[in-house]
Parts: sequence; C-alpha cells; structure tokens
Amino acid sequence: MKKNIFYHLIGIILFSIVFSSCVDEKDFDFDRMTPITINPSVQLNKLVSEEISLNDFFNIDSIEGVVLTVQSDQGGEYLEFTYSFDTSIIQNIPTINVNPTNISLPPLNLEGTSYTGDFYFPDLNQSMFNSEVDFPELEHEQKLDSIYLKGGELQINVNSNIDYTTYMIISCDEIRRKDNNSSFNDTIYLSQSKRKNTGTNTTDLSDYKIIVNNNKINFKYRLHIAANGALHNYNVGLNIAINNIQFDAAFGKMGKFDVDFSDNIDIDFFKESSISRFFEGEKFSLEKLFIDFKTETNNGIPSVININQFGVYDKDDVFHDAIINPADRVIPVNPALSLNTTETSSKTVQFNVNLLNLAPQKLSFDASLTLNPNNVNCFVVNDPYVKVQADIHIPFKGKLNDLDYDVEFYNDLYEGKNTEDNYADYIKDATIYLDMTNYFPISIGAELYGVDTSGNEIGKILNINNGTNDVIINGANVDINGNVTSPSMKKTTISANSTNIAILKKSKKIILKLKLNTSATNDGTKPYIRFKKDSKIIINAGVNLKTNISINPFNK
Amino acid sequence: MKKILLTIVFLYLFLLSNNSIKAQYSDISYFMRNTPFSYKMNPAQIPTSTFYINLPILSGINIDFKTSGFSYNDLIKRRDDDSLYFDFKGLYNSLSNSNYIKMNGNFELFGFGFNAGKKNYISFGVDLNFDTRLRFSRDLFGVLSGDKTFSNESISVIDNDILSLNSYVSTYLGYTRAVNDKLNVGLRAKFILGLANITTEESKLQITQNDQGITAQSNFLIRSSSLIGSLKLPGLNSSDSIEFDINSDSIMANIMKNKGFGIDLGGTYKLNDKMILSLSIQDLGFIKWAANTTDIVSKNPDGTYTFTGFQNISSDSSFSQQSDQIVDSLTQAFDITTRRGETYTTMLPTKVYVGYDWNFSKRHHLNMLYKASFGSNYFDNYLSVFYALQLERYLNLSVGNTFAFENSFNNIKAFNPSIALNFNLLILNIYFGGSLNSSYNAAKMTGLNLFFGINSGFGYNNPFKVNKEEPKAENETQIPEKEIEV
Repeated sequence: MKKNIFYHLIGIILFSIVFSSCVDEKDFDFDRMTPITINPSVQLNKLVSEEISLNDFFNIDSIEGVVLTVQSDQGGEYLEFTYSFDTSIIQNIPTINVNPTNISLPPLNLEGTSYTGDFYFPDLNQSMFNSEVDFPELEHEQKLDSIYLKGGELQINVNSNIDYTTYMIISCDEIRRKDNNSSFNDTIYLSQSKRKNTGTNTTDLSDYKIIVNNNKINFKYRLHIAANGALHNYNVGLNIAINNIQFDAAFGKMGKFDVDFSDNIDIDFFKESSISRFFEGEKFSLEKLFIDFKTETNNGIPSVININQFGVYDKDDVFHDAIINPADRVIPVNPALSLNTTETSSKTVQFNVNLLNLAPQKLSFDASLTLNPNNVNCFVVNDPYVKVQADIHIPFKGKLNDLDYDVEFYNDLYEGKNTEDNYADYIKDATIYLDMTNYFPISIGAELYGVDTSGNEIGKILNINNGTNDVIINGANVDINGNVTSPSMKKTTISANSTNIAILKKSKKIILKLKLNTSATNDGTKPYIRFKKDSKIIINAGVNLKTNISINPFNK
Repeated sequence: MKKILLTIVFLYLFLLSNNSIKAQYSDISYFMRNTPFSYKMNPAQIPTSTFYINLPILSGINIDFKTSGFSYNDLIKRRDDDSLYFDFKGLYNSLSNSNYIKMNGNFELFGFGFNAGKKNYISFGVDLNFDTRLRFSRDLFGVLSGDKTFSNESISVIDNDILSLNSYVSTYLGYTRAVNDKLNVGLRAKFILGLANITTEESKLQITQNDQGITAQSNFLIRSSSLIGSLKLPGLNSSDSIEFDINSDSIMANIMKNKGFGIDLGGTYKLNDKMILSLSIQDLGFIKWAANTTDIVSKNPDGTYTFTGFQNISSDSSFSQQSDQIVDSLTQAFDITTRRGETYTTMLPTKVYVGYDWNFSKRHHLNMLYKASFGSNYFDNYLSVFYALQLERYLNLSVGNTFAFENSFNNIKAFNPSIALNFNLLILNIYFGGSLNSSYNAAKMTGLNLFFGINSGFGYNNPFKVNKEEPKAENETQIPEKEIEV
C-alpha cells in the first residue's frame, strides 16, 4: 500500500513539474517588449471628385488691370486679354488781352449859339464817328478770325463838359450777339454834375462773339444832346476797354507746334504673377499681339502723333522696341468738326509678340503731338485736349512646347524638423488612383523630387504610372484652329513605396517638376490653342494607403 | 473627436465586464464527490460528507478564463533574441469570424448540507456568480494588421453581441433522494438576486464600399441594469461628460427588483457496483432585470452615412469645411445615447451533463463526461475523459482531457488537459485543480480554469456503496460513518 502511495506521489510531482515547466517567463518578459506596430490599410475608391477649371489655376477674370473678353474670328471664339493705358495732352490756349483805347471826339465849338431840341454830333445825316481798337497779335503765327466768348466785359466810359442832358450812341459790327448775330449797340447816358457830364456802361460779353478783322475792332459812335438854350464849346472823350476775355472757341489760323509726351508704366502682370514664368524660355508662345491706338479730341485743330519709341524694358532694364512697321509710328488725330463735339480716330499696330518672352517689366513710350501740321484754318476750344488710349490686345491663343515648370517648397515631413509627429513615419506605402477626363488642351507630366540640405536632388518621391511614363493626363483633342473637339481620358496611378517615403523624410525641400504641352492635331501639328475659361479636368481620385504605425505603451 | 474616442473606449471597457451567462465549474470536478462543485453540477450526486459546511469565500473559488480559440502567443510572439512583439497579423489569422474573451467566476459565500435520514440529503447555500464576455470582430484586427482594407468588401468593426455582463447572487436549497439502491435524484431550487447586467440586443458597426462610395452603418441597443446606479451618455455633440449616477439610497430599494429563479435537476443510476451513469440539467431559469434599467441606443437606429468623396472643393466649400460636414454627418448618423430602459429578462445559461463513472479497479476510476452548454445563440459540446485515483475520502487525484466543440464559434479544440486534487485531513477538506485549454504552454493556451476551496466535512458517503436493504431502515441510503480501507 505504501508503495502504491509512493508511486502516486511521484506521479503527482512529475505531473506538476511538467505543468510548471510550461510557463516560460521569457514569453511574459514585458521589459523586452518592442514597440507595437500596426498596419491599418485604407482603400477608398472615391476619395475626391473634383472639377478643376482654368480659373482654379489662375483667376483670369481678376488679373489686375487686365480685361478679359470673348472675341471671335473665322476659327471660332477665343479669349482675349486687354491691357489699356491712356494719356491726355492738354495744349495751352492763347491769352487775349485787349489794350484800352482812349478816343477824343473832335471839339464841338458852339459858343454863342442857342438851340432847343435834340442835337446830334455828327448830324444824323452824317456817318457816325469811327474808331479802331487793336486786337492783339498771338504766338505761333496764330491769327484769329473770330472768337466765341464765354466771359469778359466791354466797358465804355464817356466824359464831357456838356451842360445839358447828353447820350452817347455806340455800335460795333465786330461785336455781335451769338444768338442772332446782331451787332453791338449801346446808348450811354451822361449824367450832369457841376458842368461835368459823365457816363459809363459795362456790357457782359458772354453772349457775344468778336469777329476780328485784320486785328481791328471798329466802334461807331454819335453824340446826342438834349439842348435847351445857350450852347458853349464842348469837349468829349471816350474810353473803350475790353477786359477779361474768356472764350469758348477761337477760330482762325492756330499755327503749327508740337507737344511732347512720354511715360513709363510698370507691368505688374509680369512682375508679380507667376504667369510670367510661363513666358520665359520661349516655351510658351502666343499667336499675336497688337495695340489699338485710339484718339479723341474736342479741338478743331488737325494733329498727328509721332511715336518716337514704344516698347518694353526687360528684367535687365534693356529697352526693346515693339513696333515692327515704321509706318505704324504715325497716328493721325481727327479734329472735332464743330464746337461741343468730339472726334475720334484709331489705328491698329502690330506688336512684336516675342517680347512677351522677355517677361517685360515696364512699358515705355515717347511721342509728340504735332498740332496743325499744315497750318490750316481751324478752331481751338477753351479746354482743349487730345486723349490717347492704347489697348494692348493679347489673344489667348498659344502653344506650349515642353514647358518645364518647377515649384520648390519646404517639406513639412522632413525628419529634421523638430515636430512631435511626423506623419511620414506612419506611411508604409500609398497609391493614388486618378481617373481623369481632360477637357483642357494641355498634357501634364509631373515628377516630384526630394532635395537634401545641400540642395541636391536625392530621388523621386512619387512614382507616376509605375515609372513607365510621367504623363499624368494627356491634353484634350483639338482641331487645326486650336478648338477642343473631345476630351482625353486616362487612368493614372501615383504611388509612393517605402523607398520613396524614406527619400521624403530625408528631403528638406521638395521640387515639383511639371512638363506642360499643348495638344496637337491628329497629324502632329500643334496649333495655337484657344484656351477657354470653362476648360476643366474632371478628376475622380481613390487612395490605397498602407500605414505603419508604431506605438510604445511600455515606454522603454 | 475626443468624445468619440472616449465613447469607444467606454464601450470596450463596458465589454470587458457579459448576457450569455456561462458560469461553469471545471468539468473534472464533476466526479470529485468531495468537492461542493460536484454536487452543484448534479444535485443527485450526494456529497461524500454526511455533513459539510462551506466557509465564506474559502470554500469555493472558481475562476474561468477563456478565449474563442486564440492564445497569448497568437498576439505576442518572441523573437530569437527573446524580445517580444505584437503580431496582429498572426492574431488575425488565428481568429474566426466571431471571437470572444470571457471570464467568469463563482464564489461560495456560505453553505451547508447534511444527510436527512438514510435516503435524503438536504443542502443550502449562497454563492456569488459573475460572467463577462467581450466579443470582437476579426475584421478589426485585419484592419490593424493591414490584411483587411476597405476595398470592395464589408468590414464589421463591431459584431453583434459585443458585450455581456452578468452578476448575481444565488441562494439555493437542494434536495437529493436515494430512490432505490441504484437511482438517486436531486433537485435544487435557486432564488436569484441580480446585481448587474449588460445584455447586448444589437451592436453593429459595419463599413461597406461599393461604386457609390464607402458606407458605414451602425445600430446599438444594449440593455443594462444595476443595483447601484445608471449610466448617462449625453451624446457626442453634447458638452456634458459621461456619467454613472450612483444612488446609494436606492440600493436597498432596488435590491429585490432583479429577481430570478432557477432549478438544477439531476439523477444518478448505478449500472452495477462498478459503474454509475449520471445526468443533470443545471441552471434552468431566468433573471428579470428591473432595477435602474438603462438602454444604450443609437440616436438614429440603423443610421448610415455614405462618403462619396470630397467634391467640388472651392473657397465656398473647402476641404476643411467638407471634413467638418463629414464629421457632423457621422456624428448624427452614429451618435449613441442612454434612455430609461424597460424591464427585461435574461435566461440562465443551461448546461446538461451526462456522466459515466467506471470504478475499473479498486481505487482507479475512468470518468467520462459529456456537457452541452446552450443558450439563445450558441450550442457548445464538450466531451471529457478523466482518470481518477480515489483513496476514499483522503486523497483524490484526477487527470484527463476535454474535447471541445464550440459550434457557435467553429472552435474545435482537442487538447484541454485537466487536473484536480483533493485532500481530506480529518474535518478539513482541501481541493484544488484546474484545466488548460489547447496547450500546456501558458503562452499558447486558449483558456484556463482554476478552482480552490476548503470546507469542513464529516462522515463519508461512498457513492459506490450499494444501498442494501436493512430490516429496520427500509429504503434508506446506507451512509456508513467510516469505511476506510488501509
């Protein structure tokens, strides 16, 4: 019996040893626990559905100083940018000062006679006395025929020693009312005081015009005495003054003279906009560029603008003249045909479109306005101007030939940044699936490179189409006139594996290299593309993201 | 976002604490008549002591931890350099479509039993039971390991019946009668007071992707009841925090609200003087939960949200704005809240035992046990074979293995060794043991059962003793004071 018990106890001990030996402490040594790595993967077939139009690249509707319009020609509609500037030339108007004229009437010796009634001197059956007032000579051989007044006064002063009620009757055929062309007539009453007899009349000339006859103005006058008894010897003096002449218009020969004008205008469009980068390197060319010069004047003087230079300054401040044809340097200015009207003229001048590739910084012009070059009869108004407007038209028809467009930016996922979390650490690999329909006639190729702290490219961060080609999307199909006929469609994969992500983390900067090409026709011809505002790329994007997240709850 | 995470964490913590109650004793103790567990599994199995008394806590501690088939080693592995690492891929591959971690326990609070005459045995006792179970999706770990993506397939982030918890005190009265010299029958009636319960009626968070986009759908209805208070989830959009209102005054008022009733039935039949066949049905009953009932429900039942991608991103509808709208829509679709719940009833997890005890040699036994465990959504089968060395009441040793067929989880495990030992030192009866699932290696085992207890027993009832007719005490079970063979 004891033996049996012994065996049983041995069995129990052996069983316990076996049982206890099945616990390996190393399996539970959490001090040797390494960080926990989880690899959640997310595949979203529809992450983004987006339409990107031309305006999303750059807002062509709101480029400062530039107007966007839709134009058309035989090839169809196209967009056109118009950049306008203008200048006004204000010419000097002649200043007219008429010197006052003193006139003494012949002595009237009536001493010892007596008369009752109206006495005229000269007698009514005789012609009135006539005196001339000189009209001034003007500069630049200007010779006025007439002036239409809008201000000024005619002051006539009469003095005498006539001791009866007296009147001076004055008329002038050179001064006429503007409304009925009637000659100027006036009667001046001479008031009597202590054997002096004086009278003054002042006439507002704003309703009159002056017809200048050989630079003279003739005044006619007659004395009227209401006599009543003994007469004496009388002296009569007359003073005529025309003051503060202001005119609406002056007719005559205005002479020939030049007015110079010039300006430099900054082109912010190229200075500040990244668009200028498109034009550099002659990879982007426009079909044409032209300027519409428009003039407007209220002046009756025929004139002409002579453009001495019209062009642009490049980044090195070198001037480049833009006008190709010398005949385009003369721009006629049509004169106003009548008062209170304006007349316009225009001229289209072809611009050297290649100058855009210089990324022009300033527009510069130097010109002169030659007034009345043939010295003909004309008129000048009181506030004359010649307005010159230049509209630079840029039809948005162009083509891109392997335009490389690089964008460099700092990498937020650079491992050298002192950030708590670097999300690149969590990415194992990622693939973006793009299903695109492109109505935009440009093919886009792209590469993304990492740049280390020394500025060296250290490898690709993304693989486009598994490295077979870098074209993300082909341009839409076009006809010979550059119109889009049908969209292009393509499925593109953009992936980043662990190698790429390692490069990403080592990159202080990232360079996005784009290669842009406008579409070609079926025969390979690359027409100037008519870009449309509503051109768009429809993108449906999905993503397959495999993560690699390490956490260390054991805080070793 | 913080609130969403808090809510998720809360739900998962909630999961750790379960509906499908499967408090169970180690199967190997079924044949160990010296332990209270044997009698509890089959009320017809008369304890070997003519009188016993169970001491609070000491007399019965039974802890059971189990997974649906995965082990520690499936998740945490050791490299050649002895460093440890989490292997989510390995865990994902070892999981079935539905998985659980569960823990349950039984603590004897008090009990006694005694022979009432020669044919009757009466017992009384109080015990505390708890069961928790967390079910989780295999897909969840597939996502973590990267094996499961949101490509054109459904991902169940949360399965049905995510969490269940049950805690109750059972007061029982048992009666066993030796019907004749071969047949014993037993009945145990249980009056149950529920302490806390979480029952998941529905828990679903599923993500599906198709051509239209990626669609998430959720629905939650989790019932709960507790004596001490109720949970309050204000909702994801609320600035209020999650609260558990404890009302100590109501504990006494509520203590009788969660009432339940259950019975155990059993019978043993001596085929001959070497073999006993037994049958029992354990935990046939229910608990009606009425105290502080609270439902955690989806504000928008079966709410769905379909993400069709970011669209037409512009200054008026930026990526950030669209992201905010998505979060708002998700919150609206999947927000959960609490509401006053109605009274509900849960069934006790019923087990059926069929036992066979063959005393093939004087002190040696071969035991076989079939156990069926079934509830509303599972039907599991276990077949065990044990060898037992029984030196009367002084020393009992039993070793064996259980073949598990958990149909509800497609989990078949053939290797589940058990051992149990019982010493009887005069009035002190000491018993302990346990079982392992799947492997001896602790890192590879899929479950563990441990039990321990000390009680006091007096006298000895030999189960193989034939109840011989005696002239003066007809039809009474013969319960000798001592039958010690040395």
